[in-house]
This record gives sequence, structure tokens and C-alpha cells, in this order.
Amino acid sequence: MKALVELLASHRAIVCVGTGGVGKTTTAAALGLLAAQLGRRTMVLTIDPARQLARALGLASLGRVGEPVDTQGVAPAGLLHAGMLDLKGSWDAFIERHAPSEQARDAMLANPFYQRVSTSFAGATEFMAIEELCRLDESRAYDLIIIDTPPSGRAIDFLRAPQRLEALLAPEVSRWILGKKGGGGGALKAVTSGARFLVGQLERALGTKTLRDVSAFFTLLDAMFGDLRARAERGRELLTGPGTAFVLVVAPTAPELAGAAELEAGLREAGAPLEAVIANRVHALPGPLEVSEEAAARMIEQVKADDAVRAWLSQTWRDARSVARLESERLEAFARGVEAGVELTRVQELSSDAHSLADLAQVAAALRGGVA
Amino acid sequence: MLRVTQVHPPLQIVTGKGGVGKSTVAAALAVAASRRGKQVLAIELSESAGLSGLLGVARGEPGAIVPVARGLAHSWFDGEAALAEFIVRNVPFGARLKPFFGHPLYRAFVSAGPGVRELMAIGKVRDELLGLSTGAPPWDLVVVDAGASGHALQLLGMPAATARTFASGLAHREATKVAATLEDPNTTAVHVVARPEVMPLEEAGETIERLRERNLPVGRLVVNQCWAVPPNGASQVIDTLSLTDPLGQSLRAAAERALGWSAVQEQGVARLEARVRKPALRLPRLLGPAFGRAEVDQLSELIAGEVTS
Repeated sequence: MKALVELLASHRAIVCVGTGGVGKTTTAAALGLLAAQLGRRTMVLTIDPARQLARALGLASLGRVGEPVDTQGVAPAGLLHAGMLDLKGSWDAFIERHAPSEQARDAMLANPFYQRVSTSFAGATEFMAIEELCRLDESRAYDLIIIDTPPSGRAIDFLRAPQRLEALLAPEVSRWILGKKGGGGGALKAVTSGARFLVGQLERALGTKTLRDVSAFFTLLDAMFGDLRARAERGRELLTGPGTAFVLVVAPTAPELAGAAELEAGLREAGAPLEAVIANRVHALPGPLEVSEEAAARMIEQVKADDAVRAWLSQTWRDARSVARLESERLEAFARGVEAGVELTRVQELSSDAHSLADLAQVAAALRGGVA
Repeated sequence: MLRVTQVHPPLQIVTGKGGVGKSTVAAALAVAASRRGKQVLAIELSESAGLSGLLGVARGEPGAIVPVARGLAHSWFDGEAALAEFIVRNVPFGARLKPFFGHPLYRAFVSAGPGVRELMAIGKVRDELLGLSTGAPPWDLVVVDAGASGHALQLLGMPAATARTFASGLAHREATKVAATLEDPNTTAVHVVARPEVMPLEEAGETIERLRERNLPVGRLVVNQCWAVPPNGASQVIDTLSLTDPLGQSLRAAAERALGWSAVQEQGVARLEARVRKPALRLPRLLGPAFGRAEVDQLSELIAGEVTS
């Protein structure tokens, strides 16, 4: 069993996964703060388009490269940078790095199909997040990179992004569009006439200009195919390597835990090393939960207030206790279903949303504490 | 008293930040209308199977209509399956293309094509609404769970974007028709759901503004899981609770939490109502052990005004 502190100290990359709305981004930021407190040079990269992390980290805006966070007072020892994935900018930069010539680069950046596709094809975000993770890793500027994943129920797509990209760029595809010969033989001819029919139909559906753009796009991409595949491979190595840990963030509500269980099973299937579970927004109550209703009723009876206030207090307490019990049962059941040795850390809900570094420090303290 | 005839658009789409209860609201709308004698189809366009789970049915094949109860059916659409169906039906000699659906070039278009899948999924919603696939309009109301705000905005904005991208051709014509349906306030309403906390409320505000920018008719702002408003004097009583015994601590923690969050709620909801110039429809926190049909039925009574007069 590894405490989160140990996990942060012994890895190069932490990938936070979870369903939407469970506080994944805030958790990623708090883990970053904790790592900085431990003296690690840390980068937190978020993909979530909301300005949540920026607000929590006290930054007005987040750049692609990463902005230093003023952690004075909360993490004097370490260094914390935060960044947000700029999908379009990252793809443009990727093209600039890998285009075989200036002309090819300019043609690609100006291609309308590229402009639409670079931010919208399935896996575009995931591929680029992994690419940025690789680049941060290669820059050696940080000891630890913490990455937030897209807020979908399909975090597993994150792992499959490189394969999906490869499928899209499979040599057959460009061969079809570019009409390159490959393999030869009689079968190819028949296939090619079929392709002509297909292209004809696509032309009818999309218009000739689109098809010209598409074909130019694939021609340009073909020259970068080797690089893309190599980068996808590098991403896969990094994600499944020993330096990377997956952390699952959950909330103790029934639908969110059901989604998290699906996610966990998916990660296990994909051979991803899930190393920790963080339960956010836990509503524990101080004192034992088995206090009797009568004892509480007697205490509320003695409160000097009018009936409305006493009734409110009574209802509020019963609701809170029932929530605390249900959450605790649900989390225990969830933990039983998770692979042995994966630690569950509970983080008590803050009294309000996290919007300051001090709030994040409070979460970081809960994460440091380990099992509650 | 001024009486306003309320319009109940036949296409009601639900979105909001992750975890706020979008699927619950969609399910409650569908149940409320079907209980009042309407023929309702509840469609899932989100990735997760939340809506089918809440209605207590298993997801069938994409596009299959699964009966839930009297007057209520469920379906989920997948862009790729919808595209194949569309091609076979609308493209000349489309059926001849069937063998190519597994082809790498076709697959490249489906996964890389600009919004092809989104366009097809939302186009199929329109087909169902207008009864284009069966001939007669069988549904009085189509409720759509469109998933999280970012996904939904992409989905709902795709027809107009596609119509702009392609100047001509079948894709342009299809996209123009779908965009017109989505932009018609007599046909469509997009409800935005939030939880009474700062970030979900803020995201709801942003979503409403973006829907308006895209000429998409905004329906209700629903604030789900609202705290009961504490009575006067509630905050003063906290200080009188004893902190020396565990029961007192527990009472105090519960009261402080309720007060804290209801303050966040009141401030946040008021600010959002002013920002989007729209009153919020508040739904209460329900604390059952598992969220299911019983909770959906309870909420459906509170939301029935949105689907029937």
C-alpha cells in the first residue's frame, strides 16, 4: 500500500482520471501543491476548458507553456507551475516542429480541413494531451507532471488515443486518397475502382472543394506520418511505463461511483496501473454515527430557539447523518471492488467551492493525511 | 391576472455540467409528460448510459426504440450508426456503399470528418421528432439528454457550423434543415441544469450565453439539489450548541454545512438569475440510498409544468 505522498515522490507523471463533476481538476491542482510542498518541481496540466484551475491557483489566465504559481506561504520548498492545454496552438506547434519544409508547414496551417480537424477528430484532445505530457517529460524542467484528463466518462479513450490516431492515419488511408501503389496485384485494382466510386459519392455529399482540401491534407500529413506514429508510440510507452501512475478521482454519490467503477474496470483491462483512489466531497460528521435519534432530539429540545429553527436543526442533522452513513457504505463497497493494494483517500468537502490557494492547501493537507 | 399561454416545445434538450443531474431532469421531464397522456421518446446522446439506467431499462442497439412504460420509450443514438442509416436512405445508390462502411477511407471520414458524427446524431433526433423514419409523427415530445455542456454545445452547434463549412452538396442541405429545427423556439427548448454551487452555476451561465450566441432557444434554468432555505435565527443558534460532547459537535457540523451551502446557493442563484435574466426552477436535494425511478417520479411532479399546461 502506497500513501499518496509516496506516489508523488516516486513517479514522473500522475494521470488523474474520473467522471465529470467530481472535482478532478481541483484534485489535480491540490496534488500538485502537495508535491511542491514535498519539494518536487511540479507542473499541473489541465485540459478542462473551464477556468477552474486558474481560479483555484490564483491565476488570471493559463498559458500553454505553464505559469509559475506563487506558492509562498503554502509551499515554500517547491516549485509549482500550472498550464492549460491549448488544443489548436499545440497542433499548430506540432505541425511546425514536424513539417518537412516551410512550404508544407504553411500549406498545412492554411488548409481548411486541417483547421477543422485538428481540434475535432476523435482523440485529438487526448493525443495532444499525451504529446504535451511527453514534451514536458522530455524537457526535464520538472520532476513531476500531473495531468488532468478530459471530463468525459471515457477516460479510457485517453489510453487508446495513440492507436486511434494510427488507425486514422493507417497507410491504407493515404494510399486510397493519394492513389499510391502498395503491394500491387489484381485485388488492388478492384479495390481502386471501388474507391473511385466512394470518392465520387463523398464528392456529391461534401462538395468538390472539401474533397480537394481533404486530399491536400492527407498528402501533407503523409510526409509527417512517421513522426506522428513515433510520437504516439512514445506516448504509449510513457503512459504504461513504471514512471506513470493513474489516480482515480470519485465522488461518494451513487451515479458517480457507478461511472467510476466502469472506468476502473476499463483501466484494468487496458493494463493501466491504477495506484490510488481519491474520494472527494465526502460529508463525514464528527463523532460516532450510531448516536441515537432520541439523544439528538433531547439535545435539540434544549436549544433556545423557536420551533422553526429547532425543526430545521433536527432535519438538517438527520439528513447529514444519513448522507454520512450512505457515503461511507458506498465507498466501502467501491473499495472492495477495486484491485487490492490500491489505497482510498477520503477528502472532506470544503465549506464552499475551492477558489483560493488556501482552499487548495486544505485539500492538499487532506491528501497528505492518507486514509481518513 | 395576465394569462400567458405557455409554449411547450416538442423537442426538449437537457444539458449542464457533469454530475449536476442532467439525466435525472431529462428522465423527470419524460416521465411527467408520459403520465399526462403524451407519447414521449427519451433519447440519450451522452456517452454514459445514465438516462436508460434512471428509466430502468437496458440500452438496446443504437437507434432501437425500447418501450419503458405506457406512452414512454427510450433510445440512444450513435453518430456512426446514424451516418450509415442516413447514407443508405439519402445518398443515390447509398445501399451500394454498405460494403464500404468498414473501409479505412470511410472510417477516416467518420472519425476525422468535421462533425460528421455529431451532425448525424442530432439529425436523427430531428427525424424522430418529425416522424421521418416511420412516416407518421408518433411522438408528442422528444426529450434529449445531450450530455455535459461542452459536448452538448458542440453537438447543437454542429448543424449551423456544417452548413457554413460546406457551401453546397447534401451535407449543406441536411445541416441547414437540422439547424432550422434547432433554432425554432416553437420547436426546441434547451434546458440548462446546475447544482447550487459556484462552478456549476457559472458553467450554466456560460452555457446559456453560448446557446444564445448560436441562436439556440434556451428553455429553463434548472437548479437541482437545492438546500432548504434556513429559517431566521438559524445562524445564531449554532453558537449555542455545545462543542464539548460528540453529539453537539455533530449537530454543529451539520448545521454549519447546511448554512454555508445555502448561503452559497442563495448568492449564486441570485447572481446567475440576474446574469441570464431568467428565474431558476429549483428542485430539492433528494437523499435516497440509490438514485432511481422513485426519485425521478418525485421530481417529475415538480417539473410537470414544463411539458403540460
